[in-house]
Amino acid sequence: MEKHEAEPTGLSRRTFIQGAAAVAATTALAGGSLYGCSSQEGGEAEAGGEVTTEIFAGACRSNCTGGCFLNIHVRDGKIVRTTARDLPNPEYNRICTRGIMHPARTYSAERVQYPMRRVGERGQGEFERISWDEAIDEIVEKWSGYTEEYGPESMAMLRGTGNYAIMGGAWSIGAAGHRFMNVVGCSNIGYNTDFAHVRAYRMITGSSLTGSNNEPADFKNSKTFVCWGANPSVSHPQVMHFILEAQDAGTKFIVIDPAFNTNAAKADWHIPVNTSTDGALAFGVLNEIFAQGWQNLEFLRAHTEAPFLIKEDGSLLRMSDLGVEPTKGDIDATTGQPTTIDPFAIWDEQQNKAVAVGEAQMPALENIPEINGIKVTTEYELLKEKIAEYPLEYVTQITGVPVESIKELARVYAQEGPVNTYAQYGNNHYINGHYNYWPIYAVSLVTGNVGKPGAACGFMALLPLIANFAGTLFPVDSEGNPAQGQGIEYTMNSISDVLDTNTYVGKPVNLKGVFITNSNLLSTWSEREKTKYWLNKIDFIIVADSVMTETAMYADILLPICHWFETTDLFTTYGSTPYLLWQEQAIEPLYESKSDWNVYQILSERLGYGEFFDMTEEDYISLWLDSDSLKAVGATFDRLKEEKAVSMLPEEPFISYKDGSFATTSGRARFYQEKVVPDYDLGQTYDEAKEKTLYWEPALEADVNSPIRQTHIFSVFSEHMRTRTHSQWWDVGYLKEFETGPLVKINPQDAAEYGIVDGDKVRLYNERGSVVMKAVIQPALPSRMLACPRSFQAQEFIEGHFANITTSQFNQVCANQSFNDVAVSIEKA
Amino acid sequence: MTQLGMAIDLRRCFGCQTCAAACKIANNLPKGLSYNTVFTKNDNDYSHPGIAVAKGAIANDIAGGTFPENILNFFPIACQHCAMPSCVAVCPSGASTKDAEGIVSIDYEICIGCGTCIEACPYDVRTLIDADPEFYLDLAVGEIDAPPHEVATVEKCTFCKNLIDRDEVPACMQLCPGRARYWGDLDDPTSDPNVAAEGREVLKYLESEGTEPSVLYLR
Repeated sequence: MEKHEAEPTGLSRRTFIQGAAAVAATTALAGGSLYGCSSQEGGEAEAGGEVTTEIFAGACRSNCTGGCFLNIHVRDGKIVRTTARDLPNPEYNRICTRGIMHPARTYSAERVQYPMRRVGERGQGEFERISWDEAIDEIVEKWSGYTEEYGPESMAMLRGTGNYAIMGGAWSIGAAGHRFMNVVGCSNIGYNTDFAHVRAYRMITGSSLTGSNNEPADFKNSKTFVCWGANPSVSHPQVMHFILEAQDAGTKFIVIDPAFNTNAAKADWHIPVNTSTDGALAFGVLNEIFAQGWQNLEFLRAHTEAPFLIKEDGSLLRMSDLGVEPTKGDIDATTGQPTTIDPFAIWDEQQNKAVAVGEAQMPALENIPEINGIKVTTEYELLKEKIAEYPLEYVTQITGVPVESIKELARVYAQEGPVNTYAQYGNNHYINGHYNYWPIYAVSLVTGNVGKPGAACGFMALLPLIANFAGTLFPVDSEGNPAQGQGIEYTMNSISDVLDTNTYVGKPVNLKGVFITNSNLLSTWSEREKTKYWLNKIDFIIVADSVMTETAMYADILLPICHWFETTDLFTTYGSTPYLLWQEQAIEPLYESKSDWNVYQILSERLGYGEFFDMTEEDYISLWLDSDSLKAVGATFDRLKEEKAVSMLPEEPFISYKDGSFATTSGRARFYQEKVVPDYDLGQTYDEAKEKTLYWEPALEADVNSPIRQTHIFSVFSEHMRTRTHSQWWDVGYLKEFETGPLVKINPQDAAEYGIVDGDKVRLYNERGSVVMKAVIQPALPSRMLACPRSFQAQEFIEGHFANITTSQFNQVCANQSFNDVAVSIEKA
Repeated sequence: MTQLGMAIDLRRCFGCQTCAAACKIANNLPKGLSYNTVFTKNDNDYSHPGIAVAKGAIANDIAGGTFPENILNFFPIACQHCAMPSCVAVCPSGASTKDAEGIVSIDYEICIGCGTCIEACPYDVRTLIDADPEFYLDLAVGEIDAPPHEVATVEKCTFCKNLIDRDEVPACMQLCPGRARYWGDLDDPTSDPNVAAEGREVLKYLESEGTEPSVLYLR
């Protein structure tokens, strides 16, 4: 390089240091690389003052599901920087504002530094410092006492999603926190979040948490990419470049969203839709597809249950109904008995008779004659009946989407494929949540836009392989006795009643204490007053956390937990990273903190179950990995420890439901379910007709035409933030330079009506509670829809709490918190 | 000649703020000091920056227009490392210079904090440290040779010269979630930013100022 003419006079300190750094050798060490760099102590590079920066591998692993593989830079034993680390496929390299801020999380002033015992009222945060021995003694005394008097189920765990690793996590699949619960036999207070999608997806595809969209590297193969109820630009930023690159290469990007947002700004076509009416919109699209004869009959016949025959009693016709004796299949591992093979029967137009599903040459879809005197209809006919209930003009009334737009969207699905329908939890957080998804995914199924490159529908959940869940979650002791398993499964919205009545679903129960881990439920759960009520009422609260959250302030005993990088662990998730990631311990646990795993070890030992946790972290990781499907892709312990990141995809690119093969009993996607099983049982009655097949009804409060909107005229959408995952990162000051604090965003006309200008204090209120926040005018919102970033702590609000206004009511069959199904009135405060 | 510069693809930038956050940590920036700001724009007029929380706005991501016909753009702005830097031309102490790689740099030992350069720079990317800086953490984070943040000096984007001199990449370039950012020698037609700019409408921010900025904004 040539010298610039404006050479500085003399050798500046900065260039001197550069010079020293430039000659330092780059060395590779076991466990990381390091580069030499002269020290800058006192502003002068000191002779012999070489400071090295060691690099460790790790994973950022909150419940954004991004799963970022990081280089953790450690200098003088301190984490000073985090950067994106190369993954085997660098397209997946990733980091965001949050992953970059780990030095600030690690050294947060809010770290819980030592065990504490509450001395003030619950919630006031007044504690005294105690030793680990004192903390454990007190926990064990209470826990054993309750167990002796009321049984092990009188203690409960409340496991959140604050850490998607298997040792430190409690919710990730095969997590140590889950094992601990099964070992000590305590009850579980349910998490009940995101289950509208889970339920719908299970009904449609047969998959539960592990069902997925195609991997993001496949997005470029889509001719059309429909972002339907998802906000990748904020909620899943690492997915965004795959979408934008596809768009640059010619993929049409369509966004269906009630509000205009960053995704809409990037889209080729934004379709505004009334809140949580997406299921009705999908019905309209289906209506147009059938009206035009655009349905993909080949796909429907071969890969869906469309030809399946429903008897008058609601059950599906099987060959045994036609006198064909069921045969014995393989031994069922759980029962030890042979399985029964009784194939579904369908009508074959070629042979003009009913045959076992695999034997039909031309499966009939409609107008099936009586078979052996049995009247039947097909799932296809039922689907058409339901679709006929949604003429386009009616759909327009519900959704606000013009007829011409519905028709064009139908045409796109039929003629501009392959289409990827990227649907996340945008439609989940409403009481009608799961009713939205079945019609949406039916659009993909009816047009054959599933199971091939560029064509997919569903949530981004790249966890196609099964780890050793039996070995991790249901351990057996040295004498062959299995762990006792968890106690009672409580729903999150039942605890106040349980404590008031000492009954649960009519049965006497005693719930005395709760061990809260990885959760800040006071900030993140709906209907906060109810949560506060039971947190004040329950006898004993243990909180394990790394920072003083508003929930931690309710602890009787507060245990200091390490930050993620102070432990050895293994990241796994259901998100958009197709890799298992190894967490190296980058620094020693700070202060007196211990790892979650260590706490489980100590507690299980003292409670008399030590054998189940008598292993090292690495032993547990080995156990977790000990499954045939992980071995088949080479995801072994040794490889992970060596390479730090190992793909868990069976093939690349990963195509979900490849070749139209689904996870249902029939291997086909469903338009009907024989048996309705509610996700929860609180003794509720339910209308089965709503659950058997595609169905839609409006949201409870957020629907524009909901009766409550006469009283409380605004719906409130709670937004993810770019700088927090749920309530995590609240203690990072740097991030307030990007997102300041609680805000209510309001459409300009609405603001004018109330005389609200930027920065005004505004109260949002309904019968459940209220919150006061600063207002900001947001022209991207439709009238009568407010939007608020969620994730704040009690002390950050001017008054009240955002979680006060939401409802904890469930859908009739789906145990799911409906964070966005909320109506409020507003006033200037 | 070498002129280090950047290309920023405005179609790809979705305002995630990762580059701005990375800059804060790598350079151990004190409270309120930003070298790199991702502005939100409620219009399509790139002759002015828009709004940013870091510059006093209540919120980022505020759109323009009337629902649903809205406008929402993002505009990441840092030192443009101009070929004809007005800051260097006016610097009375000789602290602001243009180095061999085309980086506009400040020698903090020479800088007297007079602020003349701040007035001269049309991009509002220079900050005078006029009081003892406050930090979010007791710990000095980022690179050991991060700028010193001394009172009565002016700071701005250094192009992370400390990093590139040891064959690493500028903090804002280390990982852009939108894959919107490129850097390299603008005098080399095969460099990443020049390749990225091929076939694209290239905007140079406030080019009319005659500064010949070295950041190519791709429309």
